Amino acid sequence: MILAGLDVGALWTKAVILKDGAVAVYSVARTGDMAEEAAEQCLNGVLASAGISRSDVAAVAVTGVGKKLIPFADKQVSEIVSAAKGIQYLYPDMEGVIDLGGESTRVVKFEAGGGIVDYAQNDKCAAGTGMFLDAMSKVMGIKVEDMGALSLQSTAEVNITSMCVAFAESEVVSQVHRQTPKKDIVRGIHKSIASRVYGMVNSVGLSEKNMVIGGLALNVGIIACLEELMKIKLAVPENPRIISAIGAAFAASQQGE
Amino acid sequence: MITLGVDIGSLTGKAVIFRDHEILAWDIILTGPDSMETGKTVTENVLNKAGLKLEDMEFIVSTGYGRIVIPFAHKNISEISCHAKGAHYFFPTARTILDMGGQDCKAIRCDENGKVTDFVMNDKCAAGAGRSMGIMADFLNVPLEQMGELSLQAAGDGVPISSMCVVFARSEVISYLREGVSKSEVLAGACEALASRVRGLLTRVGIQNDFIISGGIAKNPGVVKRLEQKLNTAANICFEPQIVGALGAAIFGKELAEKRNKKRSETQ
Amino acid sequence: MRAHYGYADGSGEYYITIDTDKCDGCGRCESACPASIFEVIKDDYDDLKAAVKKEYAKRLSFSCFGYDKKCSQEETNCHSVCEGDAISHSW
Repeated sequence: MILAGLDVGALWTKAVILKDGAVAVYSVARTGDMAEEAAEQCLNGVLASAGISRSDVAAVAVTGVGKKLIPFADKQVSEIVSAAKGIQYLYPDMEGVIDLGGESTRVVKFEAGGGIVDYAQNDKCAAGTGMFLDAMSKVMGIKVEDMGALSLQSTAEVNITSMCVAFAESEVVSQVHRQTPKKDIVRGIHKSIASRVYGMVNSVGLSEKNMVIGGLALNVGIIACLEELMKIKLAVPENPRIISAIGAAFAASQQGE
Repeated sequence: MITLGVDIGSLTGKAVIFRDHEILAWDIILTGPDSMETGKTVTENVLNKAGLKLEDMEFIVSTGYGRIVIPFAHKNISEISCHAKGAHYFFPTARTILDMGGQDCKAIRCDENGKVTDFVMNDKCAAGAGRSMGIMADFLNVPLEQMGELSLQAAGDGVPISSMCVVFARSEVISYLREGVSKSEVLAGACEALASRVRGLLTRVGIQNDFIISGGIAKNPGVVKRLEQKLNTAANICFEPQIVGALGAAIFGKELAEKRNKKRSETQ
Repeated sequence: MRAHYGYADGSGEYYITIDTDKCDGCGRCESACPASIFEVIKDDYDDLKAAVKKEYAKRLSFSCFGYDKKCSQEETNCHSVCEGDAISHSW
């Protein structure tokens, strides 16, 4: 059975084709202002790469913040289910997933190969999301991609006490004025994001068998801070950004037509 | 009996000299990076205005975010109690006080003596504080002082802004502006959203007349009017809503000095 | 006096309320809380009363998961150890 999964995020749209129990092709593109167009283009792109047509696909499943804007999808899957199913598809031993997205974060606990036990989601407050990192990177004049590595060079503790992006911006500005070394401020920023996520991890009660997905999972600084708080080594799958798209497709196949 | 109250907030530092039963002098300055310096400066300013010296102050009380770093204060008292005390001075019938500054928002219930019976302070989320207005002002390129008036030019509640988070709200505003929605409509929506949030905070402590508003937000008619409508009550605002905390501190100073003097005369 | 510690943001309202008229400053809540969010301090009238530590008020929902979710399942929690019934949760 061939399945297609779409994850329409606020910033990025991801598409995957699942064939014979594995990921055949995938694509990541900017969502931009027109989510439906971006999703359509992304889907057509992976269909072409896989050398198949729309009629070959048993179902097109969509997830992500823009899922309601995609009328041509056959199934809509919640981000919570997608994140869980995506990990279960590739790593059936796992019991939990931490999804660090651009605008939202979620932690899902599930039975290995089974149903969802508990979850926590934050999609209303920019604290602990990629937007927090984005905003701080602008204030500090450092590229977002460089923030993670820089934070690992930190040698001193700097605490950003505000959870709110707006207040944290002021704190960061005054730290910069005080000539606090940038690497230490950046680490403080990462700690702040990680602590928000850690709160969710705690409320759900994850075991050691979990993985981190989503765009922010590529940030080594966040992973390091989260590992420090959780006191375990965290695993990030290859291509953490497409896991939810995979999960959407998998979930659609499990639910049957 | 002359006393001094100093209120060091995150954005502004205030000082009030209180003599017998009235305000002798007051001053407001922007808080610098050093709270202690801010405390010294605003105190010097107010002493100059009154033509007095620090030694003339019988009792000095500090309050606010930076209250513990005022070395010349005899005591520091929470801003909640000082706000209730100060509001009670201006309006002895005050029972519910809303104080909103740049970084926080407090809802206070007090009794007929100005003593606090209920309070809640929200300083976690910018959406519930004056900061949200500041961000909107910057974004729309409208001076903060004009936001309120401009928002009232729109008929009705303006456009709905569904995101509470100021970061997410920005994207909503961008779409509205692109669609051609006027600035005043957007501002109306923002003031409406803030007023709703504030009402939620007030509901937690319960609302009883008379209702007082203090802090910077009192100077924003867009939010004040909408709040009055929602609560179906009039908002009382004193002549300078930002000095309420410092005034309360000075009045506490007077009460403490009187108690101390009474004890001294009893033991003699 | 009822002191409501916590905040409201886009995701909900998270407040722990301590009624200081019912609090005698015994400190049992301080020991009972697994996240150590309580402390006993002198209030404005120089009485010892329980309060939520300042650094936790802003991040309350990350440290306290709400009464119903976790601690109500435990035998001892901040509600059960308080003789004056001074503590309550909004979530």
